[in-house]
Amino acid sequence: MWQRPWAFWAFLLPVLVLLLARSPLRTHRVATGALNLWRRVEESAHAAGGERPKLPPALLFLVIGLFFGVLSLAGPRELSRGTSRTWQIVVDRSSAAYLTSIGSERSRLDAALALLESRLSAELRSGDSLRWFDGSEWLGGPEVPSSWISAPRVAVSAPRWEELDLPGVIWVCPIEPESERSAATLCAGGAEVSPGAVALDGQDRLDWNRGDLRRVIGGAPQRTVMMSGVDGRFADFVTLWAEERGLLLNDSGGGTQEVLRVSVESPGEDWGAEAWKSRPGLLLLSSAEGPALGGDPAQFALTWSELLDTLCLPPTGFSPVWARSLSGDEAWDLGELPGQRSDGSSQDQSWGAWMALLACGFVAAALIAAPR
Amino acid sequence: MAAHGWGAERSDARALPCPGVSVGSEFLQRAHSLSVRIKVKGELSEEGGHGASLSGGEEFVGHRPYRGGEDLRRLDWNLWARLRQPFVKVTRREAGEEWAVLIDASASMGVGPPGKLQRAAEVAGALAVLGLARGARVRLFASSGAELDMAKESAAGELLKYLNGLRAEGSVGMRGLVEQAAKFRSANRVFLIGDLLDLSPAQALALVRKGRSLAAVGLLAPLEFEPASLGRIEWWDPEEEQRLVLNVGQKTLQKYEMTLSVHLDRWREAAARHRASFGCWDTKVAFEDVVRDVLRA
Repeated sequence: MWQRPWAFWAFLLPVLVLLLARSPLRTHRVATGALNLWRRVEESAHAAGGERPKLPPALLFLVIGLFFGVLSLAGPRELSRGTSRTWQIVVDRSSAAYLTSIGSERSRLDAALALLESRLSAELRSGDSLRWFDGSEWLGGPEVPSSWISAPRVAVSAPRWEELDLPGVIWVCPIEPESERSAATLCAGGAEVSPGAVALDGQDRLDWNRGDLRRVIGGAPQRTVMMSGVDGRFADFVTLWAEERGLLLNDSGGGTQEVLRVSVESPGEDWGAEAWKSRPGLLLLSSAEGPALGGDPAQFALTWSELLDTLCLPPTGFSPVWARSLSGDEAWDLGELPGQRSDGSSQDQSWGAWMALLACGFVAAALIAAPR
Repeated sequence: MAAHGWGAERSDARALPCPGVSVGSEFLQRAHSLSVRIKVKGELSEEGGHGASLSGGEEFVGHRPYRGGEDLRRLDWNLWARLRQPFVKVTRREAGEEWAVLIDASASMGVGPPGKLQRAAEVAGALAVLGLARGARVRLFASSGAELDMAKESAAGELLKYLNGLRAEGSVGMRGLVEQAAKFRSANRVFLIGDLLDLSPAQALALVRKGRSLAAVGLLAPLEFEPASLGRIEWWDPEEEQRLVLNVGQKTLQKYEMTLSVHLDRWREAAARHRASFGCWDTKVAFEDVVRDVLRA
């Protein structure tokens, strides 16, 4: 493995030296009146065909010296047999990561992953493994989980970077986070300001463009609540709530986005005494009648309205202003390697030093052997 | 076909590193200066070859120190009696001396730098100046067929024109010139100037006869005399358009040096047997040094 594989381009230098030096080895046409003498030389057993042209020792030493010099420059690293390293790649999957620049279909995350692929390949040893983390779940595999490529339906928060500043950890994000970084590797794909929709207000949409906020009357996308199996007064309540929010009910026509599904499911063992369960975009009821209406009806309506508001998924294409206003350049900053000692006395560096010493030795020999 | 042949020759000449000759008045001055120095120091052997018949009168021109192995008949005994040091009488033949200077101007002489033909022309020109200063008739023969017959020192302009007109081309070399021995049958001194790689010692030394001295002057370019380039070499013979690809390393170079050494030893031994002189020089050596060594031999 090599720290600076691009240095192998420098191998062109000794090759060039050899090519230039070969010019004396090319056939030179020389007129002579002594061709008969040369014939006799050729006919002698020793010199049939002449001698094989040899490289001058000084040139040979120089080429070998350049060879070792290039190896030293490339930064050889010893492969530790029987050990493996795990790179922990933390991916920012917040809404800021999935925005695209104007006129581009590539998201900020795509750019960051492309940078990661190009730079990490130079660092990987055989036997290294990768683990991926988006702030909530860990996944293994040589490539980024495919489900992470597209934006999640439910917004994901950015990872807690300050807790992930560790050797062997790579931060994959649009721009460098504000958290202080000392051990982790930074892989920022870069970001440009991305104007667009940031919020809904009833049937209107609010668009942001570099500090300007513009209301688009009736620009809100058609959103629908799908309700199935629910009956009775709770169904009436959900219908009223949807109308109040400007949401359609059970309309799966083209152009509409489902933001909430309310349905009935037979309660399993894991339900316990619960009458309903929820997660973003979904409300499951244990019975068709829904939760029992008890106590103050107004309080019931207020509480459930807030809950349903919370469960509603945001419409696609909407991102907060902070995400759209991010901008920064691409950056790669290699931090501490996984399992690498930080005292600077690693075996890797001594290999490079030995190569450099050999290079100097051969170049010195070339200078000594050079014809005066 | 003729056009094709001409095109091929022109292409070869263009590919040769040193195909031509360039000598001027400065060269003539150097050649005259050399001639005077040789005359003063008495470095020129007076013998017209082993057992030469010194027919005709001889004019005494001076003395020079005796060198071991010389014919004692030439020792000046009067001077020995006075000085107790051996000196040899130096004479000039009053008439009848003829020098023949044979120049290999084949394509392989265009190898260099410094170019073999350039140096050969300079050596030939210096010998011509020297011969004329001695009152000899000097005849120059190039393998290309160009000839120059000189009998007077005043013919310097013709000499320069002749030398500058020489060009390394064609496949006829020194062997072709030697085969035309009838052209210079009356020459007392014969100089063969070239790389001598296309000629066996026996072919050259067949020119030796009574009353004639022979000097074979071998000139090799640095990359032939002491090749140093290592690597893959395609050796190309511009005369025969033949090629040989060899990886030349240190061992191959050593092998070449041994082969060249054997070749030169054969020449030296054969020349010594025939009382002729032979030498081989790198074209980096100045023509004055070559001429002085040739005349001392």
